Amino acid sequence: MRPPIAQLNHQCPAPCRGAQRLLAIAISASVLLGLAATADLTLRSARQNDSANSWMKAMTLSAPALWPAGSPMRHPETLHPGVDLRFSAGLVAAP
Amino acid sequence: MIPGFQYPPMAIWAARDIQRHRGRSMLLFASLASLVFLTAVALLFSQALDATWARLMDQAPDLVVRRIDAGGWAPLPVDDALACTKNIPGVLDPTPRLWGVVPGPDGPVTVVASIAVVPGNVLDGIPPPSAGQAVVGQGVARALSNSRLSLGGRNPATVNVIGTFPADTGLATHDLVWMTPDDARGLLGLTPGQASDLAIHLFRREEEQAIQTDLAAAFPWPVSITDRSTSALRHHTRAVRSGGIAVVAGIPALLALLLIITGTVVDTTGQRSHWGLLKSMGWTTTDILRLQIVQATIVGIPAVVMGLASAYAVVFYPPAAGVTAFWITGGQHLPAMTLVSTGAAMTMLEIAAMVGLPFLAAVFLTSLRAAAGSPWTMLQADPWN
Amino acid sequence: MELKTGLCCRRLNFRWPGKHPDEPLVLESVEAVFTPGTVSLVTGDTGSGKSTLLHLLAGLLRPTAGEIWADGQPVSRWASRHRDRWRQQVGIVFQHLALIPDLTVAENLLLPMIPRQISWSRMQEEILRQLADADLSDLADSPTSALSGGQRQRLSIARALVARPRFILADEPTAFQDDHHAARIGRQLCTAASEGAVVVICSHDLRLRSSDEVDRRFHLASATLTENPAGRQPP
Repeated sequence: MRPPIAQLNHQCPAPCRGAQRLLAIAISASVLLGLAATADLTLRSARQNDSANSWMKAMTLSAPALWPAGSPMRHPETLHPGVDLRFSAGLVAAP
Repeated sequence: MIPGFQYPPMAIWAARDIQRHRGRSMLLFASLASLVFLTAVALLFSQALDATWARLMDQAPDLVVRRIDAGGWAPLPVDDALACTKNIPGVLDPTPRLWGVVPGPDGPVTVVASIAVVPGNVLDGIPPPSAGQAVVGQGVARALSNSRLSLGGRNPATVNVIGTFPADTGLATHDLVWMTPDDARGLLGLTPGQASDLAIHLFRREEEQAIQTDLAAAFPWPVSITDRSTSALRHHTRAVRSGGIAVVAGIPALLALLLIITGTVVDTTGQRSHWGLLKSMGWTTTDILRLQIVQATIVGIPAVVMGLASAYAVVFYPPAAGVTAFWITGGQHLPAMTLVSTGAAMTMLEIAAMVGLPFLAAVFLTSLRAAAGSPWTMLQADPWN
Repeated sequence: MELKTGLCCRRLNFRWPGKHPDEPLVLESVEAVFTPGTVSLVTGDTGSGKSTLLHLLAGLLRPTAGEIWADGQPVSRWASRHRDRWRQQVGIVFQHLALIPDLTVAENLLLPMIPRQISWSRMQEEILRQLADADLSDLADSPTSALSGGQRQRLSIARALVARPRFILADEPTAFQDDHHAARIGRQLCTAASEGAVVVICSHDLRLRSSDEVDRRFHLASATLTENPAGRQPP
């Protein structure tokens, strides 16, 4: 049964609740995600990946380990036009 | 919702209009978020790898001197080499290195030995190896079925693995086998008093090119000198070049696609007659543009934020970061990609501007073109007419 | 001729764009003054140009010659952007109603008020008032597509009146109404006029022709608008 007009007078005939909800979701999701990313960035910048840097220095390594061992990109000091990579220390001599 | 707070009527109506055209709005949201995600992953990864690489290479020696002869590499006599570098101005801390590449259980591994004592704050609980023992990187540990590691080389040996380097050090230690200097010499065929090469730090890094001539002349044998900058940038840039080119070529195509989608969503026949009706009720072209921009913002900002947040997660959080690295670098050998975030905030702001501003411009221009007509002409587009 | 208040047509000519200059005009030398506080009725045969006259008065069409003045301003000469802004003072009831079917009844009434710097709560009050006047209070959250023809017409009138416009232009506002609601609409328009609005109605409806709420009667025939003396209905 529909409410009488007197009650309607105190209501909102065009509340657009769904639209207001959509606005609230859009704003809060953006703010929350933005804050989460900012917080993570701040914490991450405090950490700075010091341990990898420390081991680089301690072992006097020439390059990071992004490529497989034995490749010239992994060991840039072995890449010289006059030096055949096959004759690096420890590698079995090529036939 | 905050009690007492009321959104502006134009914002409420813009959201209501989005609800009325749910499908189009979702299409726009998805395409915008996807575009931002793809662009941000490539650029964030590249920027993060650059920053991480630069930090790591900052720790590398400025110069590495290797003795060579007609057969290639030759062992370096330690005492003679140190004596040769003693009187060269600008040379700091020449360090003999013991290292080499040997066959391991799952491919080549890098054997290293530290002649100096590793500081306790670096060890962080990892036990330094004794004779017959080794500490290995994650890439080596993965291939082990038990704690025994068999290595090839001049004199093959088997060592006991007593620890692994932490995962977040992977970019430096992934393929390392750290053993005692005596074990390393035995494996690599070096005698006591010999080293693989000499690592040198300089007082001024800018002198690394200029000092090489003096350095080479100081040694009585032929030497090969490698400087840090030559090895560093060339090789890591190559890693992201293929991915970078794809991104640079792909961005204009993706932006064009976004423009087409925006145009399709914004400017339709039904939309024109609706705007003609609004104009007949007192809405101006400016009001209609304002409505469209507010709508674009309601859809666009969450899409951009979500795209950036997703890209951030897959670049900086393993294991997704490993997948990202594989996709971009095409590499098959992947250490745990613990990348630094220096500059990531600025990169993300740039991406938001690079995608968001053209998007808003597309919405503005498409809406202006459609809404600037005479209301009578626009009303005639109604199917009822 | 008094041009300071109300709506005035001065030597108004109109021919549809694209028509040959030799073709007859839809409106020719129309002169009329619609004063505030009065309800004016324009009658005429189908196709005589009543709706066209209304659309000209609303600024939706530009006259081929002559001028339209509103409260002393030559609105027909203004650039589009100024006429669009002026149209905030106009409430139009279209013959084909032009409602948005996927919006609710109350949401259709929001449309004219959104760009007018009115607060959300005041908009809701105005909507409640109009719904009561239009006898649609029980249907506030019904979709427009679910209404009958008469209900939709009353909604269209409510939408024209919700922002309390200065100029009310209604094209066949009682076409789908029973006698009770037709009389009610007449009273609504009369009330608006008594509050200072200029009300111009185009209609065939005999009930409006004979209504006491109509103050002035015009007849449009052969592109010419003539006013009928007070009390006399047009043929």
